[in-house]
Amino acid sequence: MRTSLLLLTLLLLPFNFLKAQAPPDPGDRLIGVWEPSHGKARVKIEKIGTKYYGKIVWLREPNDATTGAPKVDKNNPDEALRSVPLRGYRLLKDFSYTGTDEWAEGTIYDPENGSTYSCVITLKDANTLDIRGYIGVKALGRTDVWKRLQAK
Amino acid sequence: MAVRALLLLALLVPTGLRAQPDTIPASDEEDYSQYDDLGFADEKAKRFAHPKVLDLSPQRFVSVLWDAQGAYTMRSSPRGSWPEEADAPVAEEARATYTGGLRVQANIPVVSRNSIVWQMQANYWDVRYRLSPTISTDSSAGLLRTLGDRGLRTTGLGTTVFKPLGETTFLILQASADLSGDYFLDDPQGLEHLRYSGALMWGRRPHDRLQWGVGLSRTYRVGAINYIPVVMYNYTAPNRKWGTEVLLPARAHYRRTFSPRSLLLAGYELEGQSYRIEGLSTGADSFEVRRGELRLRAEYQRQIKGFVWLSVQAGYRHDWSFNADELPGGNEFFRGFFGDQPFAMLNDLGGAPFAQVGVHLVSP
Amino acid sequence: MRPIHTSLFLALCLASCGEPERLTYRSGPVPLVATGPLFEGTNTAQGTWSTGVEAFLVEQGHSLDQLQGARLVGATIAGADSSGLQGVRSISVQWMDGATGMHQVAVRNPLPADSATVVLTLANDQAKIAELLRSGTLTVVADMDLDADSDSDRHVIGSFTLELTLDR
Repeated sequence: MRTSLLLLTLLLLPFNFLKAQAPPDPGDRLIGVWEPSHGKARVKIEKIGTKYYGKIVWLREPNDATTGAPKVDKNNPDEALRSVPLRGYRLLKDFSYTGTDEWAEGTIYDPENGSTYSCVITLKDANTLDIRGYIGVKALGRTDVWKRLQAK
Repeated sequence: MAVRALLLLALLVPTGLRAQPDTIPASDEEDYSQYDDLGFADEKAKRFAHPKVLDLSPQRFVSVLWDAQGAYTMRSSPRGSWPEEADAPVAEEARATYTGGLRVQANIPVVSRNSIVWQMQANYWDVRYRLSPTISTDSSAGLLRTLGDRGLRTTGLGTTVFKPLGETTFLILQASADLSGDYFLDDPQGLEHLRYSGALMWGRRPHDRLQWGVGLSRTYRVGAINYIPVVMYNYTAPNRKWGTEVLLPARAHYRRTFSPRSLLLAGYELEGQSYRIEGLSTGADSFEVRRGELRLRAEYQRQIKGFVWLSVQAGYRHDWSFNADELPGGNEFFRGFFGDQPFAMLNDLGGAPFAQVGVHLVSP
Repeated sequence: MRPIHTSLFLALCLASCGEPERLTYRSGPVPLVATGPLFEGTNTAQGTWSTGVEAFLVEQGHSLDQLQGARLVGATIAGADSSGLQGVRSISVQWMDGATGMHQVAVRNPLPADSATVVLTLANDQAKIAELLRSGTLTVVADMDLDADSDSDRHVIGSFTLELTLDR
């Protein structure tokens, strides 16, 4: 009995320890599945190390209309990378949480034209993100509103 | 022994987890089909029609353009009261060997959300004329000489609001105020001479490659004020190689997309404004040239680097209207297509080839 | 020193001092693992790569400070067991570290059926490679598009060949 208790304690210990060591990071509120305003894709944002990345997990039209094959990143300015599949593509990269509901220093990639923009993400409420892609200064940019998705 | 092994394991597990700071969570391995059946976490959230369709020529934040026309002959009548069809005598005649100037345009988003997009525009167009020689038989005319000396300018501010009404329907409201005339920037004409244009359009965006709309506009596109219906039809073919960019009657273009970084537009645009000529205006009355041009053109656009694009345009400029009106007290009047109010001066411009080159900072 | 000797000396100096030195560096095997269960579609294999570039440069009589540029000139992915790369439809490889961020370096799509090893197509844009190498330790991320679900882990091995450019 004592052995069983000891075993249970030892098994639970690391997880309790981890929980105690890691209070919820406010930056992790970004983690989840989000839908851009165009509704053509769904993007899963996750944390890798201390930064946040978003990849395409769903495409309304997963296959190329002309070839019928799964869509690839055919507009990438780097010709060598035009065969990268779009599903699974990380289009949000390297975001750091700056506090005050903002994630900055990242980039957003637009597969429609192969452009990468500076980007800042703002959490407007628990289920709404403002994703502002901009050129040089934030004033020269466009904001897209993304909505959080969850299982129906 | 088993207990020791477990103790060792328990100590190692958290260490192992901490050892890889840059790791992707195990949940990364996922069944993609789970994303098929998701809904908004906020049940009140709605989807809205997007303001663009696929492959439209890029929207421009800032543009600097230079426009130049080839040589043509200008003729103007004496001042008077001339029905449009009148066979008025020629008071001035000149050969315009150069017509052109700088155009600077800015289009800055103020509010850009799914539920509304609001943009502000500013523009400055300069047109200079080099005339040689000017033959004048009536000293009371003087329009061509004035154009040669002073040129024409337009400075304007505008705003556009795109308001989605749902997933596929939207409204577009556009309004602008322009100051047009032979003034110079260091001595502009009074704001009472501002001319206002606007349009309201209702439209649908049934899918990512089509957006159409119908509405009504108040416009100076052909020089004088007019109220006309407008039709928008922006379309991209399923093969994404071609499409249309149409806003009738102002412009209509066929678009050939070579890549996301280069495209060709071919079609026409109507350009125009009502230009107040200070030296020919007396008292409160305003003498205004109703300049309207039909430009048949082809334009090649391509990315230079990053968000900087180049456009090169060439075509033929047809004189739609260059007649002038005398506005008593500066008050605008409506002639429309069927009005028979006489003109204060009948002018005629020959057609001319033109070219335009521009550098643009394009929008995300 | 006579003028001709001076010129010769300068020419030799320019020839020896002006040209940067190039070295080829081959990584050892970099094990990458995608932790199961895995699903049909894109799954991520990853591993930490201590590049060893600094030690290599010291061994060659240089230092990391002299690293002026670097290009990835070869990249392969091999299956770690007898199944090879069976069932893998495409592979896209990225390198990342905390400071420089994530950069796509190579891709192969589609993979030849039942490959054991594939040579990847390399990104043309490699502006950040030297910066990534200076950090010493990278996370290598390989997104693999699988044609079927699987309960077990998937192990693959990356190998990279780099051309290092050094200030003399």
